[in-house]
Amino acid sequence: MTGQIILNKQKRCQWRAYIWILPAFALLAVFCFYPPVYAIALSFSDSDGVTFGNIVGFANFASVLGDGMFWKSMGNVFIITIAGFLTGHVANILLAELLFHLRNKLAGSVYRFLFVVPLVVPGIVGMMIWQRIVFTPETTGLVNQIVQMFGGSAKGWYSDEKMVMLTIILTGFPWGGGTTMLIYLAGLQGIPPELADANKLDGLGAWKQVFTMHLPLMVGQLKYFLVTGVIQGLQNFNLQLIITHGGPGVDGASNVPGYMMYDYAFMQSKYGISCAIGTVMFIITLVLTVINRRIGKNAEEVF
Amino acid sequence: MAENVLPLCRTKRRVGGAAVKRAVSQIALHAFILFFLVCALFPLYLLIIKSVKNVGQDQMDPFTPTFPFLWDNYRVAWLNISSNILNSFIITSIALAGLVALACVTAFAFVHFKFYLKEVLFTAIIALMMIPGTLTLVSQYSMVYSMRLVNTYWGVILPQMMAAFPMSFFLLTSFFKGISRELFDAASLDGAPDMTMLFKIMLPLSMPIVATIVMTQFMALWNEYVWSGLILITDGMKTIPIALVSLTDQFYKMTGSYGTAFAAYVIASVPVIVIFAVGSKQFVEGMTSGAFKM
Repeated sequence: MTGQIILNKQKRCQWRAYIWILPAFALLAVFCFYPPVYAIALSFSDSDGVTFGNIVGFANFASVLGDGMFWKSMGNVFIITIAGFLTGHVANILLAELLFHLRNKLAGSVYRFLFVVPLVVPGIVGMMIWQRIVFTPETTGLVNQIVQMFGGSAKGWYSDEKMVMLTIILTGFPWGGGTTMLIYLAGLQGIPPELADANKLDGLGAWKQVFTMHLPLMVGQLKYFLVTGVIQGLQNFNLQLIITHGGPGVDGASNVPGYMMYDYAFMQSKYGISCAIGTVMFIITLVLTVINRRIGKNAEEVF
Repeated sequence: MAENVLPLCRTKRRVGGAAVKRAVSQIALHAFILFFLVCALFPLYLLIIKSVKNVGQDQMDPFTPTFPFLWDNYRVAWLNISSNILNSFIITSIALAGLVALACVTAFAFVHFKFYLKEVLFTAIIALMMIPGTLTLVSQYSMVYSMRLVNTYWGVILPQMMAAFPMSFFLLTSFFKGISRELFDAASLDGAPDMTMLFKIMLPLSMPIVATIVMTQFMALWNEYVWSGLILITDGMKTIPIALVSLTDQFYKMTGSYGTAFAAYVIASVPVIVIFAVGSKQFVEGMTSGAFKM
Protein backbone atom coordinates (compact mmCIF):
# COMPACT_ATOMS: atom_id res chain seq x y z
CA MET A 1 0.00 0.00 0.00
CA THR A 2 2.60 2.53 1.07
CA GLY A 3 4.68 1.58 -1.93
CA GLN A 4 1.82 2.61 -4.17
CA ILE A 5 1.54 6.02 -2.54
CA ILE A 6 5.23 6.71 -3.04
CA LEU A 7 4.94 5.65 -6.68
CA ASN A 8 1.98 7.96 -7.11
CA LYS A 9 3.85 10.88 -5.62
CA GLN A 10 6.95 10.31 -7.71
CA LYS A 11 5.10 10.27 -11.02
CA ARG A 12 6.66 13.08 -13.01
CA CYS A 13 4.02 14.69 -15.17
CA GLN A 14 0.31 14.00 -15.24
CA TRP A 15 -0.45 15.04 -18.79
CA ARG A 16 -4.20 15.16 -18.27
CA ALA A 17 -3.63 18.24 -16.12
CA TYR A 18 -3.18 20.30 -19.28
CA ILE A 19 -6.69 19.36 -20.43
CA TRP A 20 -8.03 20.58 -17.08
CA ILE A 21 -6.34 23.94 -17.34
CA LEU A 22 -6.81 24.44 -21.08
CA PRO A 23 -10.22 26.22 -20.99
CA ALA A 24 -9.01 28.73 -18.42
CA PHE A 25 -5.82 29.50 -20.29
CA ALA A 26 -7.60 29.85 -23.63
CA LEU A 27 -9.91 32.48 -22.14
CA LEU A 28 -7.10 34.09 -20.13
CA ALA A 29 -5.00 34.46 -23.27
CA VAL A 30 -7.74 36.39 -25.04
CA PHE A 31 -9.25 38.42 -22.22
CA CYS A 32 -6.39 38.83 -19.73
CA PHE A 33 -2.96 38.40 -21.33
CA TYR A 34 -3.58 40.02 -24.70
CA PRO A 35 -5.29 43.31 -23.63
CA PRO A 36 -2.38 44.70 -21.55
CA VAL A 37 0.07 43.94 -24.37
CA TYR A 38 -2.23 45.57 -26.90
CA ALA A 39 -2.73 48.55 -24.56
CA ILE A 40 1.00 49.15 -24.34
CA ALA A 41 1.24 48.89 -28.14
CA LEU A 42 -1.63 51.37 -28.51
CA SER A 43 0.12 53.83 -26.20
CA PHE A 44 2.77 54.28 -28.89
CA SER A 45 0.18 54.96 -31.62
CA ASP A 46 -2.19 57.73 -32.63
CA SER A 47 -5.11 55.29 -32.76
CA ASP A 48 -8.62 56.74 -32.90
CA GLY A 49 -10.21 53.48 -31.80
CA VAL A 50 -11.33 52.45 -35.29
CA THR A 51 -7.86 51.75 -36.70
CA PHE A 52 -4.50 51.24 -35.05
CA GLY A 53 -3.14 54.39 -36.74
CA ASN A 54 0.56 55.26 -36.95
CA ILE A 55 3.39 54.63 -34.56
CA VAL A 56 4.24 57.95 -32.94
CA GLY A 57 7.02 56.87 -30.59
CA PHE A 58 6.94 58.47 -27.16
CA ALA A 59 4.82 61.45 -28.24
CA ASN A 60 1.80 60.33 -26.20
CA PHE A 61 3.90 59.88 -23.08
CA ALA A 62 5.49 63.28 -23.60
CA SER A 63 2.11 64.98 -23.86
CA VAL A 64 0.71 63.10 -20.85
CA LEU A 65 3.71 63.83 -18.63
CA GLY A 66 3.80 67.44 -19.80
CA ASP A 67 0.13 67.95 -19.02
CA GLY A 68 -0.57 69.85 -15.80
CA MET A 69 -3.98 68.19 -15.57
CA PHE A 70 -2.35 64.76 -15.37
CA TRP A 71 -0.24 65.75 -12.36
CA LYS A 72 -3.21 67.42 -10.72
CA SER A 73 -5.14 64.17 -11.22
CA MET A 74 -2.29 62.10 -9.83
CA GLY A 75 -2.24 64.33 -6.76
CA ASN A 76 -6.00 63.95 -6.36
CA VAL A 77 -5.98 60.18 -6.70
CA PHE A 78 -3.16 59.83 -4.18
CA ILE A 79 -5.02 62.02 -1.70
CA ILE A 80 -8.25 60.09 -2.21
CA THR A 81 -6.55 56.68 -2.00
CA ILE A 82 -4.46 57.46 1.07
CA ALA A 83 -7.28 59.22 2.88
CA GLY A 84 -9.65 56.40 1.95
CA PHE A 85 -7.20 53.79 3.19
CA LEU A 86 -6.56 55.58 6.48
CA THR A 87 -10.18 56.41 7.29
CA GLY A 88 -11.44 52.99 6.22
CA HIS A 89 -8.85 50.98 8.09
CA VAL A 90 -8.70 53.03 11.25
CA ALA A 91 -12.50 52.79 11.41
CA ASN A 92 -12.59 49.06 10.69
CA ILE A 93 -9.76 48.11 13.06
CA LEU A 94 -11.39 50.22 15.76
CA LEU A 95 -14.73 48.59 15.08
CA ALA A 96 -13.23 45.09 15.07
CA GLU A 97 -11.49 45.83 18.40
CA LEU A 98 -14.74 47.10 19.91
CA LEU A 99 -16.65 44.03 18.78
CA PHE A 100 -13.81 41.75 19.89
CA HIS A 101 -13.89 43.13 23.43
CA LEU A 102 -17.65 42.72 23.79
CA ARG A 103 -18.46 40.05 26.34
CA ASN A 104 -22.08 39.54 25.32
CA LYS A 105 -21.92 36.97 22.51
CA LEU A 106 -25.47 37.51 21.27
CA ALA A 107 -25.12 41.29 21.05
CA GLY A 108 -21.81 40.76 19.28
CA SER A 109 -23.30 38.67 16.52
CA VAL A 110 -26.30 41.01 16.11
CA TYR A 111 -23.95 44.00 15.74
CA ARG A 112 -21.74 42.11 13.37
CA PHE A 113 -24.73 41.28 11.18
CA LEU A 114 -26.01 44.88 11.20
CA PHE A 115 -22.61 46.22 10.18
CA VAL A 116 -22.62 43.94 7.16
CA VAL A 117 -26.11 45.06 6.07
CA PRO A 118 -24.98 48.17 4.12
CA LEU A 119 -23.21 45.77 1.75
CA VAL A 120 -26.55 44.90 0.16
CA VAL A 121 -26.80 48.35 -1.37
CA PRO A 122 -25.20 48.33 -4.82
CA GLY A 123 -22.04 50.46 -4.92
CA ILE A 124 -23.46 52.83 -7.50
CA VAL A 125 -26.61 53.22 -5.42
CA GLY A 126 -24.52 53.93 -2.35
CA MET A 127 -22.79 56.71 -4.25
CA MET A 128 -26.09 58.16 -5.43
CA ILE A 129 -27.48 58.04 -1.90
CA TRP A 130 -24.60 60.25 -0.83
CA GLN A 131 -25.13 62.51 -3.81
CA ARG A 132 -28.92 62.87 -3.53
CA ILE A 133 -29.60 62.42 0.18
CA VAL A 134 -26.57 63.22 2.32
CA PHE A 135 -24.68 65.86 0.34
CA THR A 136 -27.61 67.16 -1.76
CA PRO A 137 -27.32 70.80 -2.76
CA GLU A 138 -30.95 71.43 -1.69
CA THR A 139 -31.54 72.94 1.74
CA THR A 140 -33.33 69.73 2.79
CA GLY A 141 -30.16 67.66 2.34
CA LEU A 142 -28.84 65.96 5.47
CA VAL A 143 -25.49 67.74 5.67
CA ASN A 144 -26.99 71.08 4.66
CA GLN A 145 -29.58 70.75 7.45
CA ILE A 146 -26.84 70.05 9.98
CA VAL A 147 -24.72 72.94 8.69
CA GLN A 148 -27.70 75.30 8.84
CA MET A 149 -28.44 74.19 12.39
CA PHE A 150 -25.01 75.54 13.34
CA GLY A 151 -25.58 78.78 11.46
CA GLY A 152 -23.80 77.89 8.22
CA SER A 153 -25.30 78.16 4.76
CA ALA A 154 -26.41 75.37 2.43
CA LYS A 155 -24.17 74.55 -0.50
CA GLY A 156 -23.67 72.05 -3.32
CA TRP A 157 -20.95 69.93 -1.78
CA TYR A 158 -19.87 68.09 -4.90
CA SER A 159 -20.15 71.22 -7.05
CA ASP A 160 -18.03 73.48 -4.87
CA GLU A 161 -14.49 73.60 -6.20
CA LYS A 162 -12.97 74.08 -2.75
CA MET A 163 -15.08 71.49 -0.96
CA VAL A 164 -15.24 68.71 -3.52
CA MET A 165 -12.13 66.77 -2.42
CA LEU A 166 -13.09 66.91 1.25
CA THR A 167 -16.62 65.85 0.31
CA ILE A 168 -15.28 62.86 -1.62
CA ILE A 169 -13.16 61.82 1.37
CA LEU A 170 -16.13 62.20 3.72
CA THR A 171 -18.36 60.14 1.42
CA GLY A 172 -19.13 56.85 3.11
CA PHE A 173 -18.71 58.11 6.69
CA PRO A 174 -18.21 56.39 9.17
CA TRP A 175 -16.33 54.13 6.72
CA GLY A 176 -16.67 51.09 8.98
CA GLY A 177 -18.41 47.78 8.44
CA GLY A 178 -18.62 45.30 5.62
CA THR A 179 -16.09 42.69 4.65
CA THR A 180 -13.00 44.58 5.82
CA MET A 181 -14.30 44.60 9.37
CA LEU A 182 -15.11 40.88 9.18
CA ILE A 183 -11.58 40.05 8.06
CA TYR A 184 -10.00 42.06 10.88
CA LEU A 185 -12.36 40.55 13.40
CA ALA A 186 -11.35 37.10 12.17
CA GLY A 187 -7.72 38.12 12.55
CA LEU A 188 -8.32 39.11 16.18
CA GLN A 189 -10.26 35.96 16.95
CA GLY A 190 -7.45 33.93 15.46
CA ILE A 191 -4.91 35.19 18.01
CA PRO A 192 -3.87 32.27 20.20
CA PRO A 193 -5.39 32.66 23.69
CA GLU A 194 -2.05 31.79 25.32
CA LEU A 195 -0.61 34.98 23.87
CA ALA A 196 -3.50 37.07 25.16
CA ASP A 197 -3.10 35.55 28.63
CA ALA A 198 0.63 36.17 28.67
CA ASN A 199 -0.02 39.80 27.87
CA LYS A 200 -2.63 40.06 30.59
CA LEU A 201 -0.12 38.77 33.11
CA ASP A 202 2.30 41.40 31.89
CA GLY A 203 -0.37 43.92 32.80
CA LEU A 204 -0.69 45.36 29.31
CA GLY A 205 -3.61 47.76 28.97
CA ALA A 206 -6.20 47.38 26.23
CA TRP A 207 -4.71 50.14 24.08
CA LYS A 208 -1.18 48.85 24.45
CA GLN A 209 -2.36 45.40 23.47
CA VAL A 210 -3.70 46.79 20.20
CA PHE A 211 -0.36 48.17 19.17
CA THR A 212 2.03 45.64 20.63
CA MET A 213 0.08 42.48 19.90
CA HIS A 214 -3.00 42.83 17.68
CA LEU A 215 -1.59 44.97 14.89
CA PRO A 216 1.67 43.03 14.52
CA LEU A 217 -0.31 39.78 14.37
CA MET A 218 -2.60 41.20 11.70
CA VAL A 219 0.25 42.24 9.41
CA GLY A 220 -0.88 39.59 6.91
CA GLN A 221 -4.36 41.11 6.63
CA LEU A 222 -2.99 44.66 6.53
CA LYS A 223 -0.65 43.75 3.69
CA TYR A 224 -3.47 42.16 1.73
CA PHE A 225 -5.56 45.30 2.13
CA LEU A 226 -2.66 47.60 1.33
CA VAL A 227 -1.93 45.86 -1.95
CA THR A 228 -5.53 45.44 -3.12
CA GLY A 229 -6.64 48.78 -1.68
CA VAL A 230 -3.93 50.85 -3.32
CA ILE A 231 -4.27 49.13 -6.70
CA GLN A 232 -8.04 49.55 -6.66
CA GLY A 233 -7.89 53.05 -5.24
CA LEU A 234 -5.51 54.34 -7.89
CA GLN A 235 -7.71 53.15 -10.74
CA ASN A 236 -11.11 53.94 -9.31
CA PHE A 237 -13.07 56.65 -11.08
CA ASN A 238 -16.69 55.65 -10.47
CA LEU A 239 -17.42 58.76 -8.45
CA GLN A 240 -15.95 61.04 -11.11
CA LEU A 241 -17.91 59.22 -13.81
CA ILE A 242 -21.23 59.46 -11.99
CA ILE A 243 -21.08 62.59 -9.85
CA THR A 244 -18.33 65.13 -10.53
CA HIS A 245 -17.05 64.40 -14.08
CA GLY A 246 -13.64 65.46 -12.85
CA GLY A 247 -14.91 68.91 -11.96
CA PRO A 248 -16.38 71.20 -10.88
CA GLY A 249 -14.64 73.83 -12.98
CA VAL A 250 -12.13 73.28 -15.76
CA ASP A 251 -9.07 72.79 -13.55
CA GLY A 252 -9.93 69.21 -12.62
CA ALA A 253 -10.77 69.90 -8.99
CA SER A 254 -11.63 66.21 -8.48
CA ASN A 255 -10.11 64.70 -11.62
CA VAL A 256 -8.25 61.39 -11.45
CA PRO A 257 -6.09 59.65 -14.09
CA GLY A 258 -8.65 56.87 -14.54
CA TYR A 259 -11.31 59.36 -15.50
CA MET A 260 -8.88 61.25 -17.79
CA MET A 261 -8.15 57.98 -19.54
CA TYR A 262 -11.85 57.21 -19.92
CA ASP A 263 -12.51 60.70 -21.21
CA TYR A 264 -9.66 60.64 -23.76
CA ALA A 265 -10.75 57.28 -25.19
CA PHE A 266 -14.52 57.39 -25.14
CA MET A 267 -15.31 61.11 -25.36
CA GLN A 268 -12.44 62.30 -27.57
CA SER A 269 -11.46 59.08 -29.43
CA LYS A 270 -7.79 59.60 -28.56
CA TYR A 271 -6.92 55.98 -27.79
CA GLY A 272 -3.16 56.52 -27.96
CA ILE A 273 -3.00 59.15 -25.21
CA SER A 274 -5.59 57.23 -23.22
CA CYS A 275 -3.47 54.07 -23.27
CA ALA A 276 -0.36 56.09 -22.43
CA ILE A 277 -2.09 57.19 -19.21
CA GLY A 278 -3.01 53.56 -18.55
CA THR A 279 0.60 52.48 -19.07
CA VAL A 280 1.92 55.15 -16.71
CA MET A 281 -0.59 54.01 -14.09
CA PHE A 282 0.52 50.43 -14.61
CA ILE A 283 4.18 51.34 -14.04
CA ILE A 284 3.27 53.23 -10.87
CA THR A 285 1.29 50.24 -9.61
CA LEU A 286 4.23 47.94 -10.31
CA VAL A 287 6.67 50.18 -8.47
CA LEU A 288 4.32 50.42 -5.48
CA THR A 289 3.85 46.66 -5.43
CA VAL A 290 7.61 46.08 -5.37
CA ILE A 291 8.08 48.68 -2.62
CA ASN A 292 5.27 47.10 -0.64
CA ARG A 293 6.93 43.68 -0.92
CA ARG A 294 10.20 45.14 0.39
CA ILE A 295 8.51 46.92 3.27
CA GLY A 296 6.39 43.88 3.95
CA LYS A 297 9.49 41.70 4.23
CA ASN A 298 11.14 44.15 6.59
CA ALA A 299 7.99 44.38 8.65
CA GLU A 300 7.92 40.60 9.01
CA GLU A 301 11.51 40.63 10.24
CA VAL A 302 10.72 43.33 12.78
CA PHE A 303 7.71 41.56 14.23
CA MET B 1 -10.34 28.09 19.26
CA ALA B 2 -9.92 31.55 20.68
CA GLU B 3 -13.65 31.92 21.06
CA ASN B 4 -13.91 28.80 23.16
CA VAL B 5 -11.02 29.45 25.45
CA LEU B 6 -11.22 33.17 26.12
CA PRO B 7 -14.56 33.24 27.98
CA LEU B 8 -13.17 30.62 30.34
CA CYS B 9 -10.33 32.92 31.33
CA ARG B 10 -12.75 35.77 31.74
CA THR B 11 -15.07 34.01 34.16
CA LYS B 12 -12.39 34.09 36.88
CA ARG B 13 -13.87 35.92 39.85
CA ARG B 14 -12.80 39.50 40.13
CA VAL B 15 -12.70 41.74 43.16
CA GLY B 16 -15.54 44.28 43.50
CA GLY B 17 -13.87 47.41 42.05
CA ALA B 18 -12.53 45.64 39.01
CA ALA B 19 -15.94 44.13 38.24
CA VAL B 20 -17.64 47.54 38.33
CA LYS B 21 -14.92 48.99 36.11
CA ARG B 22 -15.42 46.08 33.74
CA ALA B 23 -19.20 46.66 33.57
CA VAL B 24 -18.74 50.38 32.91
CA SER B 25 -16.29 49.72 30.12
CA GLN B 26 -18.69 47.20 28.60
CA ILE B 27 -21.48 49.80 28.60
CA ALA B 28 -19.17 52.34 27.01
CA LEU B 29 -18.30 49.74 24.40
CA HIS B 30 -21.98 49.19 23.56
CA ALA B 31 -22.60 52.94 23.38
CA PHE B 32 -19.70 53.47 21.03
CA ILE B 33 -20.71 50.60 18.75
CA LEU B 34 -24.32 51.79 18.66
CA PHE B 35 -23.24 55.30 17.69
CA PHE B 36 -21.13 53.85 14.89
CA LEU B 37 -24.04 51.69 13.79
CA VAL B 38 -26.53 54.56 13.69
CA CYS B 39 -24.14 56.61 11.54
CA ALA B 40 -23.56 53.68 9.19
CA LEU B 41 -27.24 52.84 8.77
CA PHE B 42 -28.73 56.34 8.73
CA PRO B 43 -28.38 56.92 4.96
CA LEU B 44 -30.13 53.57 4.37
CA TYR B 45 -32.95 54.56 6.67
CA LEU B 46 -33.33 57.84 4.76
CA LEU B 47 -33.35 55.98 1.44
CA ILE B 48 -36.19 53.73 2.60
CA ILE B 49 -38.40 56.44 4.12
CA LYS B 50 -37.84 58.77 1.17
CA SER B 51 -38.80 56.04 -1.29
CA VAL B 52 -42.42 56.30 -0.13
CA LYS B 53 -42.67 60.10 -0.06
CA ASN B 54 -44.08 62.55 -2.56
CA VAL B 55 -42.54 65.97 -3.26
CA GLY B 56 -44.42 67.81 -0.53
CA GLN B 57 -43.77 65.20 2.15
CA ASP B 58 -40.05 65.24 1.35
CA GLN B 59 -39.92 69.04 1.59
CA MET B 60 -41.81 69.19 4.89
CA ASP B 61 -40.28 66.21 6.70
CA PRO B 62 -37.05 65.17 5.03
CA PHE B 63 -35.84 62.92 7.87
CA THR B 64 -38.94 61.31 9.41
CA PRO B 65 -41.48 58.86 7.98
CA THR B 66 -44.68 60.48 6.67
CA PHE B 67 -48.10 58.97 6.12
CA PRO B 68 -49.71 57.83 3.94
CA PHE B 69 -46.89 55.95 2.23
CA LEU B 70 -46.80 56.57 -1.48
CA TRP B 71 -46.47 52.96 -2.67
CA ASP B 72 -47.10 54.13 -6.21
CA ASN B 73 -43.39 55.06 -6.39
CA TYR B 74 -42.60 51.34 -6.32
CA ARG B 75 -45.13 50.51 -9.05
CA VAL B 76 -43.71 53.17 -11.39
CA ALA B 77 -40.14 52.19 -10.57
CA TRP B 78 -40.83 48.50 -11.22
CA LEU B 79 -42.46 49.24 -14.59
CA ASN B 80 -39.34 51.12 -15.63
CA ILE B 81 -36.60 48.83 -14.40
CA SER B 82 -38.00 45.28 -14.60
CA SER B 83 -36.41 44.59 -17.98
CA ASN B 84 -33.06 45.94 -16.76
CA ILE B 85 -33.24 43.64 -13.75
CA LEU B 86 -33.75 40.72 -16.13
CA ASN B 87 -30.65 41.78 -18.11
CA SER B 88 -28.63 41.98 -14.92
CA PHE B 89 -29.86 38.52 -13.89
CA ILE B 90 -28.88 36.94 -17.20
CA ILE B 91 -25.43 38.51 -17.24
CA THR B 92 -24.69 37.97 -13.55
CA SER B 93 -25.81 34.35 -13.40
CA ILE B 94 -24.01 33.20 -16.57
CA ALA B 95 -20.79 35.01 -15.63
CA LEU B 96 -20.96 33.70 -12.06
CA ALA B 97 -21.62 30.10 -13.07
CA GLY B 98 -18.83 30.24 -15.63
CA LEU B 99 -16.42 31.82 -13.19
CA VAL B 100 -17.00 29.35 -10.38
CA ALA B 101 -16.83 26.31 -12.68
CA LEU B 102 -13.68 27.51 -14.41
CA ALA B 103 -11.94 28.58 -11.19
CA CYS B 104 -12.77 25.33 -9.38
CA VAL B 105 -11.60 23.10 -12.22
CA THR B 106 -8.38 25.08 -12.74
CA ALA B 107 -7.57 25.42 -9.04
CA PHE B 108 -8.17 21.70 -8.55
CA ALA B 109 -5.76 20.89 -11.39
CA PHE B 110 -3.07 23.11 -9.89
CA VAL B 111 -3.40 21.61 -6.43
CA HIS B 112 -3.97 17.99 -7.41
CA PHE B 113 -1.79 17.30 -10.47
CA LYS B 114 1.90 17.47 -11.14
CA PHE B 115 2.89 18.94 -14.49
CA TYR B 116 5.65 20.86 -16.20
CA LEU B 117 5.63 24.66 -15.94
CA LYS B 118 3.16 24.53 -13.06
CA GLU B 119 4.92 27.24 -11.05
CA VAL B 120 5.31 29.48 -14.10
CA LEU B 121 1.67 29.17 -15.11
CA PHE B 122 0.55 29.73 -11.53
CA THR B 123 2.63 32.90 -11.26
CA ALA B 124 1.28 34.08 -14.62
CA ILE B 125 -2.30 33.94 -13.30
CA ILE B 126 -1.44 35.54 -9.95
CA ALA B 127 0.52 38.31 -11.70
CA LEU B 128 -2.68 39.32 -13.48
CA MET B 129 -4.00 40.63 -10.17
CA MET B 130 -1.33 43.34 -10.33
CA ILE B 131 -2.45 44.63 -13.74
CA PRO B 132 -4.74 47.58 -13.21
CA GLY B 133 -8.09 47.67 -15.01
CA THR B 134 -7.24 51.17 -16.18
CA LEU B 135 -4.48 49.73 -18.36
CA THR B 136 -6.73 47.28 -20.14
CA LEU B 137 -10.08 49.10 -20.30
CA VAL B 138 -9.43 50.81 -23.62
CA SER B 139 -7.58 47.99 -25.40
CA GLN B 140 -10.15 45.47 -24.22
CA TYR B 141 -12.92 47.67 -25.52
CA SER B 142 -11.35 47.90 -28.96
CA MET B 143 -10.84 44.13 -28.94
CA VAL B 144 -14.44 43.40 -27.95
CA TYR B 145 -15.54 45.97 -30.52
CA SER B 146 -13.68 44.17 -33.30
CA MET B 147 -15.17 40.85 -32.12
CA ARG B 148 -18.56 42.48 -32.77
CA LEU B 149 -19.63 41.87 -29.17
CA VAL B 150 -20.66 45.45 -28.43
CA ASN B 151 -24.26 45.65 -27.21
CA THR B 152 -24.38 41.89 -26.51
CA TYR B 153 -24.54 39.98 -23.23
CA TRP B 154 -21.35 38.08 -24.10
CA GLY B 155 -19.45 41.33 -24.50
CA VAL B 156 -20.05 41.92 -20.80
CA ILE B 157 -20.01 38.33 -19.53
CA LEU B 158 -16.67 37.07 -20.90
CA PRO B 159 -14.41 40.03 -19.96
CA GLN B 160 -16.06 40.42 -16.52
CA MET B 161 -15.81 36.73 -15.80
CA MET B 162 -12.13 36.63 -16.70
CA ALA B 163 -11.40 39.85 -14.81
CA ALA B 164 -12.64 38.12 -11.65
CA PHE B 165 -10.86 34.85 -12.43
CA PRO B 166 -7.35 35.45 -10.97
CA MET B 167 -8.63 36.47 -7.52
CA SER B 168 -11.14 33.60 -7.33
CA PHE B 169 -8.48 31.16 -8.51
CA PHE B 170 -6.05 32.46 -5.89
CA LEU B 171 -8.57 32.08 -3.07
CA LEU B 172 -9.58 28.58 -4.19
CA THR B 173 -6.04 27.27 -4.56
CA SER B 174 -5.05 28.54 -1.12
CA PHE B 175 -8.15 26.95 0.38
CA PHE B 176 -7.69 23.65 -1.51
CA LYS B 177 -4.08 23.44 -0.34
CA GLY B 178 -5.29 23.48 3.23
CA ILE B 179 -7.36 20.34 2.70
CA SER B 180 -5.58 17.27 3.94
CA ARG B 181 -3.56 15.48 1.27
CA GLU B 182 -4.23 12.08 2.87
CA LEU B 183 -7.88 12.28 1.90
CA PHE B 184 -6.90 12.26 -1.75
CA ASP B 185 -4.24 9.64 -1.51
CA ALA B 186 -6.81 7.39 0.11
CA ALA B 187 -9.33 8.22 -2.58
CA SER B 188 -6.90 7.68 -5.44
CA LEU B 189 -5.94 4.31 -3.97
CA ASP B 190 -9.59 3.44 -4.17
CA GLY B 191 -9.33 4.31 -7.85
CA ALA B 192 -11.64 7.31 -7.64
CA PRO B 193 -11.59 9.39 -10.86
CA ASP B 194 -10.46 13.02 -10.67
CA MET B 195 -13.97 14.37 -11.18
CA THR B 196 -15.26 12.38 -8.24
CA MET B 197 -12.48 13.75 -6.07
CA LEU B 198 -13.29 17.30 -7.07
CA PHE B 199 -17.02 16.99 -6.54
CA LYS B 200 -17.16 14.50 -3.67
CA ILE B 201 -14.19 15.64 -1.56
CA MET B 202 -12.81 19.03 -2.56
CA LEU B 203 -15.98 21.04 -3.17
CA PRO B 204 -18.02 19.89 -0.18
CA LEU B 205 -15.08 20.78 2.08
CA SER B 206 -14.60 24.15 0.35
CA MET B 207 -18.15 25.45 0.59
CA PRO B 208 -17.26 28.48 2.78
CA ILE B 209 -14.75 29.86 0.30
CA VAL B 210 -16.97 29.02 -2.69
CA ALA B 211 -19.83 30.86 -0.97
CA THR B 212 -17.54 33.82 -0.34
CA ILE B 213 -16.54 33.95 -3.99
CA VAL B 214 -20.13 33.57 -5.17
CA MET B 215 -21.34 36.35 -2.91
CA THR B 216 -18.56 38.88 -3.48
CA GLN B 217 -18.60 38.26 -7.23
CA PHE B 218 -22.38 38.35 -7.37
CA MET B 219 -22.24 41.80 -5.82
CA ALA B 220 -19.38 42.91 -8.05
CA LEU B 221 -21.15 41.73 -11.21
CA TRP B 222 -24.57 43.00 -10.16
CA ASN B 223 -23.10 46.45 -9.41
CA GLU B 224 -20.61 46.71 -12.28
CA TYR B 225 -20.99 50.03 -14.03
CA VAL B 226 -18.04 51.22 -16.12
CA TRP B 227 -17.60 48.26 -18.47
CA SER B 228 -21.27 47.41 -19.01
CA GLY B 229 -21.94 51.10 -19.52
CA LEU B 230 -19.54 51.05 -22.45
CA ILE B 231 -20.75 47.79 -23.98
CA LEU B 232 -24.53 47.93 -23.53
CA ILE B 233 -25.82 50.81 -25.60
CA THR B 234 -29.52 50.37 -26.26
CA ASP B 235 -32.06 50.82 -23.45
CA GLY B 236 -33.33 47.26 -23.83
CA MET B 237 -29.87 45.83 -23.11
CA LYS B 238 -28.90 47.97 -20.13
CA THR B 239 -28.19 46.41 -16.75
CA ILE B 240 -29.66 47.77 -13.55
CA PRO B 241 -26.81 50.09 -12.43
CA ILE B 242 -26.71 51.87 -15.80
CA ALA B 243 -30.48 52.14 -15.86
CA LEU B 244 -30.55 53.56 -12.32
CA VAL B 245 -28.07 56.29 -13.17
CA SER B 246 -29.91 57.35 -16.30
CA LEU B 247 -33.41 56.98 -14.79
CA THR B 248 -32.69 59.03 -11.66
CA ASP B 249 -32.79 62.31 -13.53
CA GLN B 250 -35.66 61.19 -15.78
CA PHE B 251 -37.79 60.35 -12.75
CA TYR B 252 -36.84 63.63 -11.16
CA LYS B 253 -38.04 65.56 -14.20
CA MET B 254 -41.20 63.44 -14.38
CA THR B 255 -42.31 63.70 -10.75
CA GLY B 256 -40.23 66.53 -9.28
CA SER B 257 -38.95 64.23 -6.54
CA TYR B 258 -36.43 61.44 -6.13
CA GLY B 259 -39.07 59.18 -4.53
CA THR B 260 -39.44 56.95 -7.58
CA ALA B 261 -35.69 56.74 -8.12
CA PHE B 262 -35.18 55.78 -4.46
CA ALA B 263 -37.87 53.11 -4.80
CA ALA B 264 -35.92 51.79 -7.79
CA TYR B 265 -32.71 51.72 -5.69
CA VAL B 266 -34.47 49.66 -3.05
CA ILE B 267 -35.82 47.23 -5.66
CA ALA B 268 -32.33 46.89 -7.15
CA SER B 269 -30.97 45.89 -3.73
CA VAL B 270 -33.50 43.08 -3.20
CA PRO B 271 -31.57 40.37 -5.11
CA VAL B 272 -28.46 41.13 -3.05
CA ILE B 273 -30.54 40.96 0.14
CA VAL B 274 -31.85 37.54 -0.92
CA ILE B 275 -28.34 36.26 -1.67
CA PHE B 276 -27.25 37.55 1.71
CA ALA B 277 -30.13 35.97 3.56
CA VAL B 278 -29.28 32.62 1.98
CA GLY B 279 -25.51 32.67 2.27
CA SER B 280 -24.47 35.13 4.96
CA LYS B 281 -23.41 32.41 7.41
CA GLN B 282 -21.17 30.68 4.87
CA PHE B 283 -19.97 34.05 3.63
CA VAL B 284 -18.83 35.20 7.06
CA GLU B 285 -17.16 31.83 7.59
CA GLY B 286 -15.27 32.15 4.30
CA MET B 287 -14.30 35.77 4.91
CA THR B 288 -12.95 34.80 8.31
CA SER B 289 -11.18 31.62 7.18
CA GLY B 290 -7.86 33.43 6.99
CA ALA B 291 -7.53 33.23 3.20
CA PHE B 292 -7.49 37.01 2.95
CA LYS B 293 -3.93 37.78 3.83
CA MET B 294 -0.52 37.80 2.25
